[in-house]
Amino acid sequence: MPARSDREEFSPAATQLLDGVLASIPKLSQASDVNEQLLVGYLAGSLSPEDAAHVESLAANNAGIRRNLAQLISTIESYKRVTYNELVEAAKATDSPVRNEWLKVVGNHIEVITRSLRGIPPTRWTSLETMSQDGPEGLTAFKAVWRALFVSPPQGTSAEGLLRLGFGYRRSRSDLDETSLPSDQMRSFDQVDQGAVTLCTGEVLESGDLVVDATVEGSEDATTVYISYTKNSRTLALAEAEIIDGKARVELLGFGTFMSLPVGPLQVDAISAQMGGWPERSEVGQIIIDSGPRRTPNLGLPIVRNGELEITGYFEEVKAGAKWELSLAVSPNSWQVLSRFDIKRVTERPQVITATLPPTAMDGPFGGALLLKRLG
Amino acid sequence: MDHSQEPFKYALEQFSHADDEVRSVGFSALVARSRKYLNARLSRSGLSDADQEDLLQEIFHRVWRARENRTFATEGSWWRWINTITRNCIIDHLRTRTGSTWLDEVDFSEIPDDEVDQVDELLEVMEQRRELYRLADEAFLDVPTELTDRELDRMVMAVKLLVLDKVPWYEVCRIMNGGSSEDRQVTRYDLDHWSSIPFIVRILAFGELHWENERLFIYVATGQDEGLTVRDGLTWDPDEVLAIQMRIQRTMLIDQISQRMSDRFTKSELSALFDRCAERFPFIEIVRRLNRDFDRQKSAEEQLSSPGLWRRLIFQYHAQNELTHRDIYDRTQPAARETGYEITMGMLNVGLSNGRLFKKLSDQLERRGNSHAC
Repeated sequence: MPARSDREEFSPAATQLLDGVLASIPKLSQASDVNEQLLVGYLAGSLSPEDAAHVESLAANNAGIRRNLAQLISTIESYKRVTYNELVEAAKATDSPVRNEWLKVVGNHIEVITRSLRGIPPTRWTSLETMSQDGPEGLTAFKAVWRALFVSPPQGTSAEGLLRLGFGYRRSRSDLDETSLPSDQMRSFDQVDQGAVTLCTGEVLESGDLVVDATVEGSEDATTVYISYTKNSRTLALAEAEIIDGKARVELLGFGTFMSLPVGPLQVDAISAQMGGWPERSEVGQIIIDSGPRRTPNLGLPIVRNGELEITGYFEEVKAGAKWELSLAVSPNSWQVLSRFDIKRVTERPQVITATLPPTAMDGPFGGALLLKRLG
Repeated sequence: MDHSQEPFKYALEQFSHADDEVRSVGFSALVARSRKYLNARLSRSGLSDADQEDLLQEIFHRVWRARENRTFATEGSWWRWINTITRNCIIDHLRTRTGSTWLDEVDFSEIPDDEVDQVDELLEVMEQRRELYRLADEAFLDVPTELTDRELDRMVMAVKLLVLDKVPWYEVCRIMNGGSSEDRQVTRYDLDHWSSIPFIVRILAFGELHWENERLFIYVATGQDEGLTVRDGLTWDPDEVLAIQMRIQRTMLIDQISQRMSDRFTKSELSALFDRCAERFPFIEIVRRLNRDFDRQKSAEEQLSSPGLWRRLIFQYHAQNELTHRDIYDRTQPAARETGYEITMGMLNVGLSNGRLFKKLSDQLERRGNSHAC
């Protein structure tokens, strides 16, 4: 094979050929085909990676598109601060393409999570992972829940994630049917008072699944072993398995791949064992509570009934009470306010918080990421 | 030869046989083997599905027609030959479509042996226009090869929002993080860092300084740019506007315009008209604005006067806008001088006419290949 040319320039024949081809090839399209749907979707983080890359490519070269994005971000931020129901009412009064697109983002997300995350509470890794495989909308919804829980930490919390192993104890199988129980009895798992894990090993398989094997001794009451993941003071239930003959194997499909864990055995201290049932917050789906210095309310399971989201909770508010705000993570970087309400002078009486949802919301337990925040 | 183990080599042997019956068997096998690769190659050409199918047939037709005295020492020599036929078919097809008459058949046999590989590779890249411009960015603006297009677009988009569009940094972060599919969010630190990276400054400057012909025509004729009124007090009569459009948007030569508008302008009047147009080019002001936008950072000033930036611009005007050397000079020299970099007609004549730009691109292609191999 001839050696490559190390001259400073090509011969006239080569240059002529290259010049000619350059002149004959069609020019690159300069089309800037973006509309409100793409721009709103981009700002909401709900586009597929290909569509998002397309928007960025155009925005990098087109000042007009960048101008639109800068204008839209303020508009969308204003929509997020208004309750969902007020947005719907405003849409009935006046037509706004941007608002309509934003309402679609919210509606699509709620439809996906209510369709996918309606299994036995709490919502677990298994159902989230299954949802993430359900096309680009499922993947976006998955990221919305995951990021809401773990990527935006409150101040002063640890950034390290931790796998926890614990025990579950079931009174009866009927405890699993949450919808049949009154809200004040929605406790599926009790703390196990005596239990010990004598051996616990974990391994990431070639398939990307994480499996945890536990040997349990010293407790006849423990019936299940579970794994949860805690980061930034928030916890997500991952999976559980029954203890049979003192042994249990918990399987987390795709978790190793998602967390970029190396294939092979986990380090000895990668899983911490703790006594107790499911971490408190994960008993009730994914609710983040920001109550400031005040005591956090005790919440039941979020349920969708007849187009409304219902959460029953025990608040301790005396005298003047406080304003609260309930928001839903609707995309990997956006929260939409669902409702605002006052709680006054209530203790030891359950309060039912409600929020109107889009007509596409499906009835059943609700597994999306919610934020309940005390405003003052 | 164990034919079952090496069917491809056997098919090449058959195709090289003197007997056409044997040849056709080998030909069928080679067609089946090559079809998938050619489909992928043609799908990147930007042609319609129907054109691609026609071209595919033409390629195989030419392969069969050129079968006499054809031997292939290696599988690579087959791919090399079919690549050449494919490229010639695409060129012929495009020439037919554009009506171009400039081209004499340049046979690869006229090109020195030690250039063939490089020219071959560069021709393949040139068929994918976006890839060509990315190669130019790497060769002239020092864009790192390992940076993906998306990563680059995000950095450029963010810095343009911050520096050119004057969007507050927290809003830039909100815009960028909305579209991000990664866990890592864009921070203020990222914005500060990106806006001082030399190749980002050069890419940004290149984007601001390179104007399409139509955009420049509208600006010179009306004082408007992308819907914004930038300049007032421009008054041209309709004939002047028509002449300006011919010159700037359609890049016609003065002689050609003079022939068409001889009843309205003399050649010297046209020259004077176009000199006035050149005085209205926005590029000096753009350079001054860029200096202000970057708060006169020393590093930004260095990038604006870097030879790579101006060579990139020259290449783009040559490759995309098809400007004459004189036109390229008019659109680049005054602004380059403003930054302290001198462009002369001699430089343009040497750089563009003798294949130095192409050679630089080809060398970058080789560096890419070496870095991927590592």
